[in-house]
Amino acid sequence: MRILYNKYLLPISAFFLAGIPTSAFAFQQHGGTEGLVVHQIAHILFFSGIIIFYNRINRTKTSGEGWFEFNTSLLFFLIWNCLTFYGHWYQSLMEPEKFISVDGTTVALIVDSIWDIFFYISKFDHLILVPAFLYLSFALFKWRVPA
Amino acid sequence: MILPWSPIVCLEIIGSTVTLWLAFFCAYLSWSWFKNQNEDLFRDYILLFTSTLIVFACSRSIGHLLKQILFLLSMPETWHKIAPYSGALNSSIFIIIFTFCLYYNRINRILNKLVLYKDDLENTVSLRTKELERTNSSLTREVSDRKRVEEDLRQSKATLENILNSAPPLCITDLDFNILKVNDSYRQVWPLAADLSGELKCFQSRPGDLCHTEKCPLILIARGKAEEIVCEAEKIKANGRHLIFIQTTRPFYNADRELIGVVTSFQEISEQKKAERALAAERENLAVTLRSIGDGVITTDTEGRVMILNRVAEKLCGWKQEDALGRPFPEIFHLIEDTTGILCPDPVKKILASGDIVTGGENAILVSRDGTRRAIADSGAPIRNPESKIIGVVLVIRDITERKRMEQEILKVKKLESVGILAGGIAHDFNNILTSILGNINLARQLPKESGEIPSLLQEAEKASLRAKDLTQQLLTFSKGGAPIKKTASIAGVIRDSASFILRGSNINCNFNIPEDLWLVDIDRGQMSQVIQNIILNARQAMPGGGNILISCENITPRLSNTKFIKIIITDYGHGIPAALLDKIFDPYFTTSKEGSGLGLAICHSIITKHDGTLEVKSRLGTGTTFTITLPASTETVSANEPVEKEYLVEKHGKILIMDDEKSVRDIAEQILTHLGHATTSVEEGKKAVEMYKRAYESGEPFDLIIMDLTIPDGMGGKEAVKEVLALNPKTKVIVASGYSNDPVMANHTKYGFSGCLNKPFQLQEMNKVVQMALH
Repeated sequence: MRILYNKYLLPISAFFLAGIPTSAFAFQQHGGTEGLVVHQIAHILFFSGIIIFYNRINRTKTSGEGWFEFNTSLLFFLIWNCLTFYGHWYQSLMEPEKFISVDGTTVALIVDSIWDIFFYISKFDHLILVPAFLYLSFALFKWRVPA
Repeated sequence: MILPWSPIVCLEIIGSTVTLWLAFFCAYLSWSWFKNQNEDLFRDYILLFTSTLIVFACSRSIGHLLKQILFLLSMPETWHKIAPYSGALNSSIFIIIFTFCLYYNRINRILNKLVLYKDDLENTVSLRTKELERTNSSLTREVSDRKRVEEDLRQSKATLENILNSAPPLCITDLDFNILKVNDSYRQVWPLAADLSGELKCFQSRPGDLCHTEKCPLILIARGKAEEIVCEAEKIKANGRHLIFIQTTRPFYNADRELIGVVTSFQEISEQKKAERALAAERENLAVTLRSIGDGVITTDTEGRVMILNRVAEKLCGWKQEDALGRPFPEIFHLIEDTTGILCPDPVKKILASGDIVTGGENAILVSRDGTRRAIADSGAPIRNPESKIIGVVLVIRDITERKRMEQEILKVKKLESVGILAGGIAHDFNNILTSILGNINLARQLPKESGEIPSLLQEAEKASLRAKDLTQQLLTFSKGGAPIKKTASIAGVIRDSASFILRGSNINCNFNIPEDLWLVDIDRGQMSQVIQNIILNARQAMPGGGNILISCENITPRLSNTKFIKIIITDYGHGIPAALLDKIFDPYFTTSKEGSGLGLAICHSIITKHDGTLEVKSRLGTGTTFTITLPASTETVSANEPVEKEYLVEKHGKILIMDDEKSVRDIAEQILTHLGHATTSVEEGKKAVEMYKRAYESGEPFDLIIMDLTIPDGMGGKEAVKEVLALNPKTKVIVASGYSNDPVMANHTKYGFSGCLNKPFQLQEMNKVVQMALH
């Protein structure tokens, strides 16, 4: 837990926690442009962090038990991040009429273009996220067992 | 195109649930890993990274599930209120994850540096630890060595103290006569030295004759005049005890070999002195005893050199002790055999070789230095030290010249007594016989020729003559030449036949206990039969009222000899023999019976002796008598057969030469032979017989037979003459005739070249039988 005392980490974390936007939405529609931008920036930072982490790990620790599973997990997280980033961005551009609602609940989507189809596919992001966690669990399982 | 939204909803519900579950599973695994290996910084980092992902997963999954639940409950407004918080939380987690990822490299470098630092530190610590361990080990060893040296030194000091105090009195004195150190033994003898805290001079501690003189050992050693001085010292203790010491003084050097004093040791010899005096007294006593003893005593060392010669030995050997001392024993002790004069073997050598006591016979003569001869009896023994090692020989000699002379005188008297008894007995018997012969012949001569009583009177005279013949035969048993004619035989038959013959018609029962495997013996059957008959006859006379006789035989194997024996035990249960008479019963003509001649047991004893056996008698008055005969067993295993005498149907007649020095014998022999149809010629001596035979032989009319007397006084006897006759004609038949019927030549006549033997006195029938056997 000594990492928590890092001189850079704590101020950055405090900045982002203190600056929580009032209507920041995750994969849902965010209340305002600011919330969306903040979330997307967060996705970009997550993407960048994973890329850097993946790169560093592959430079230093690539052999041994569990590292294949861990790297695979990181790749799934990157793919998932790209997918959700597209979903957030595209949904902010879509017209509300494209979502057919019954009693305030969406029941269907009117698809007019390929981008709409991509959007529809991006809504199945759990198909990427679940394998990411699954591989992470595999890696941890292997590391857990002492050599 | 319209795409349904329900698959998205379903996937969100299922995916969120699975994601939530996996997130918690990852949290569990991450925590387990962290707990297992809590010293790895990288693992700490992964734990944080995973934790943020888990928080993200929880936040997102819970958010999505809540959203779907609220939508299903038609509460979208509630979700719209919560959604910004969920999204913000997710964004924050993304940023945190970014931060962690961004700092991974830095943390990793720090981690690596830390690891390197740690490794370096650990190496340094390890090296330093090893160095310290080495130093510690070296110091421990040094300390241990030091302790050991100290302990060794302590033990050595204690050992030296023990040795010093266990030693005889010992004193160390410096060059100024000050006593430096003494041991316990010294303090006990010279108590003044018990306290050396003050100054104590050696001459104060033990004043002596040498103190303050130029002969003081300390002065002599200090001046370099001697390296060791040995002298005697004395001390009279308070209790009056006189102690004598051998005092040895030697230089005492320091570690640099500088003379700093003297060491004086005292070896007590009081007891030794006492023992020496006692030994000297003992030697004096021994010398006096030896000189006073009545027998001669000579001692030698192991090389046979004379060491002691007492007075008697000096007289017997003719040597003075001073002259004999150190000389070889045979030089002073000349012992020869009485009969042969041969030098006897050196008894000292025999004793040294055997290690046993050696007793010489009584037939030795000691020739002294001046040539005097003395009969001596000697015996010697080895002298052994306490370890039983032979260190010399002691020989005791006794002059028995006078005793032997007395013994010979007594023997002569006894022989004369025996001869007197024998001569008396013979005279008595022969007088009786001659009375009968002379009386009958005189009476026959007085009667007219035609009287019919003459033949019966002559027959009585003949019977008396035959009794005389038997008597002479018995007497010949005692003669030197009466050797038995031994043949290997079983004595069992002889015993049974002889005993049965004697006991025939009596009321005495004889029991035999003779084993079947009784060994054979070499015996003259006739003589042995005579022995058994005489003893059984004795037993019969001892039991006039009848009774039992037990005859038993047994084989005897002595433990210390290879010669086997048989034993014949004849026991009667008669009146017994008085103890006073037991040693006389074997004397000739000794008898207690009116019927006996007194020759029976004497003959038995003579026969058994000539068979190399023994005859013993044990008797208890009123109980009975036991005669025990012991005979050596034969080495042969098969009995010799008795020669079978042949009967000749056709009598041969021949030309016979008779040689005998007695004219009467020649005459009667010629008359008998002429009567038997032979042509006879007679000569009185062997040489004449040989010449006559030679002439007849050369003339072509040789004699068919010669009868020769065995012994001719002052002339050639038959034994020599037969050789010459046989040399002329080996086929010549010669008969030997002699009154010495038990002479070896008579017993083994064929061995000497004779064809037969004729015992004198002979009768017509006997002579005819022997002549016919020779002619055939």
